[in-house]
Amino acid sequence: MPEYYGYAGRVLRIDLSREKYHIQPLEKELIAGYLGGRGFNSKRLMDEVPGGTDPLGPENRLMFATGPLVGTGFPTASRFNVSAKSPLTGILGDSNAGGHFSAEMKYAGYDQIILEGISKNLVYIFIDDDDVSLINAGHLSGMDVYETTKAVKEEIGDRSVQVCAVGPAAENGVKYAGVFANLMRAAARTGMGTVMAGKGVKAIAIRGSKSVEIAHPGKFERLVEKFEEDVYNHPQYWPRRIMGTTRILLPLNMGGFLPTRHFTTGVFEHAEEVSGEKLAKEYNVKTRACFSCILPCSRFWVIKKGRYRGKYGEGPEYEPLSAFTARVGNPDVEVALIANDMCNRLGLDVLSTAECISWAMECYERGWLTRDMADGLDLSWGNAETILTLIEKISKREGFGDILADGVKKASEKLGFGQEIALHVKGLEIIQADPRGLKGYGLGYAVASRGGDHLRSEPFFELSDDPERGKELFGIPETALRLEYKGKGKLVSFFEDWCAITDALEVCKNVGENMEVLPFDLAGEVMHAATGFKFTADEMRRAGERIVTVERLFLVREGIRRKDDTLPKRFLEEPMPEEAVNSAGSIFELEPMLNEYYTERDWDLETGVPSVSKLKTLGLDGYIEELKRFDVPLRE
Amino acid sequence: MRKRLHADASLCCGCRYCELACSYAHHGKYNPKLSRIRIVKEDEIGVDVPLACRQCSTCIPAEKCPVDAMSRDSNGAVIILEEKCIGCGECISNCPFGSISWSPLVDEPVLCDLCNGDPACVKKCPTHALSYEDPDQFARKRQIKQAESIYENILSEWGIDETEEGL
Repeated sequence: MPEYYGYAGRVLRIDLSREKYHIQPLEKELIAGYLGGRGFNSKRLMDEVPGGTDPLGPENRLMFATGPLVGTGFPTASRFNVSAKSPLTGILGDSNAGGHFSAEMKYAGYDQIILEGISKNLVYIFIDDDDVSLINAGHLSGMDVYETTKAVKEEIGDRSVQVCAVGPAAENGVKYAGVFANLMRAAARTGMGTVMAGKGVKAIAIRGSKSVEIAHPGKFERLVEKFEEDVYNHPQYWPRRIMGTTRILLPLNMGGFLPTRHFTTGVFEHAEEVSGEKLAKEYNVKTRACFSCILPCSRFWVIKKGRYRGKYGEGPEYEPLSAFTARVGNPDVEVALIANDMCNRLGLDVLSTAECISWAMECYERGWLTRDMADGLDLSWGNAETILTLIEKISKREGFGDILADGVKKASEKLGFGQEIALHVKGLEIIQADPRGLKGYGLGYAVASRGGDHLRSEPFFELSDDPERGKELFGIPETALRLEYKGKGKLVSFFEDWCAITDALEVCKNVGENMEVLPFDLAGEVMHAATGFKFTADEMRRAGERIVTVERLFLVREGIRRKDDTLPKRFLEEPMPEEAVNSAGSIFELEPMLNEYYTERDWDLETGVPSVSKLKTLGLDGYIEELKRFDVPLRE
Repeated sequence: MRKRLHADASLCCGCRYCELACSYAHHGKYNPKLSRIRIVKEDEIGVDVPLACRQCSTCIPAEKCPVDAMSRDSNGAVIILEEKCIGCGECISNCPFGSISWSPLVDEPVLCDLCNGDPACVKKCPTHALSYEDPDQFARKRQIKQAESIYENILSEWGIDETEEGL
């Protein structure tokens, strides 16, 4: 009988400075409190990365975590989180990706892999079950993600080994470089690739021969069958399978909140030409999937004619598609395909890259930024050559690209203009949905523990337009209306907790949360069936809240307060223009929403710090002394 | 006519849900390396190729097995007789379709046993890339698929839009 079901039961620590590793048992308290995945990483970052740590110093820790359902036959449980203190934002850094890497981690026998210290030379790590080797990677330096992955597989002599790698952008110290598994499954937000390269690690290859066992097989099989049925019968099944997330580009445009030309408007006149429908019709040739997924939503594309004839690749998701078209004012969908592919190969985060470029374009239009300052580039909206050149320059930190490589916040500070239109929250460039047209999402960006991003909450319920149901579920009809602000504090905290447990179980959020097929009660049942640990729906929700709160503690220890839970001025002061008909005139009502959110969370209204009684309820009062040392104001 | 396991690489999305199903059906636990069906993936060019025993009318590895350790069961599945198998791996080299795997668990070659006539992988495949059916049925479907691509060309020469209703 195995000691653990579902979990591998072990944690691998690699000290890169001392070139040593050891394997420790997984702590049972960690399971009870934080479930797995993102929960494990966030809790351990709070414990092991002291306040004020240099993100690129040896004290920072880079953590990879898989979840209890990964590697089992539970559909879509294939994801992993990569976390560290972020060099881009200086707060919690964390990103999540799919593919086949996570399951292999489990088969090698690890729930979490922690990299400490800094390697003297550039290495790649080969984890072959219990054998861990640091292999010189000097000859891989400068290689892109595709080349690196291929070279590592060839050297190991096994093409089925799973690899995650960083590209030249990370090696060159671009602050928003990602970690890429299976070539293009990107954990790219918040600069986790930058941290990995900073530690002197070019890639991690992993292979495992251990098996995952199930605590209650009969119950587990029944729950899997039910889950499969719910997914296959879901109205979103076929649109998602055909278009993936790109299916939402046209609806966002219709709603008037498709960020266009750096959020100066919410409608893009070329939306049809750059839509998911267009890609499905003219470019996509095949559907591809992450490990154990029954809703394969990735698309392999080929450009069959024209300037880019013969180019092929995989993706893009909605975010890069929309960011490299509407956001930068580019009407040519093929340029977006190429831009996305370049970011994958060079190892860049698509959203931060596109924000930096579109910000520069707006500065250019306003006359603040001149051609001379930007290496002679013509930064007019939609200039394809400029977009592609800048991606390359950013990855190399070359010329004007060097300024943009630090992120939009630092770039605007350095140049001394455009700070009020630098669209980030806490230093993380915001995503492709205008918060003026999606109030709950906007609140989500303002309070998200990693900065301006929707994946911490995704309160899609506000798009349901069903006030009756809003009243029924949340007691507030307006929660179901995207342009209303009332009730959004309640909505966002509910969805944050839901996202947290989905990330902790490492199930796909597109399916588990977005398609509403893995609610708290079912998640608890699945946990019990797979691992043997009992969780009620309330306990699952509590675990979600604990994860969100421990992340908040990491932030407040770094000095984050209410004043930082905000959105760029554009969203607070400039109403949506008339042409964005279905969101016209809308403005973001930050203060009442924040009040409601803090009240719901029991965080202090003035400071945004969780109350002592909340910490006690969640079993986090052990951190009180630590917070006091950092002068964090606490109230009962 | 005996049903066979058919795999269509053009439909395979590479999720490896079949590998998990096979591993679990045979061993009650999960690791794709225990599976008798394997997906070979090439991410850069976007291909995923499922490999599993096709129950060929003539099984070359069986014919060439030095100790005559391969036989067939009533469903037509090629089976390895454990008591005779010497673990030389010759069968792996001789299968022209790469359909025989080496199991790290039993440390012997293994191949698809058709799950007693109800293959677990087929039931779990989300894209219907796997099927278990009469070979003539399978051949007929392939022929129709081929014919479709031919008549689409003819129709477009005639100027008829084949996406219109009725066709």
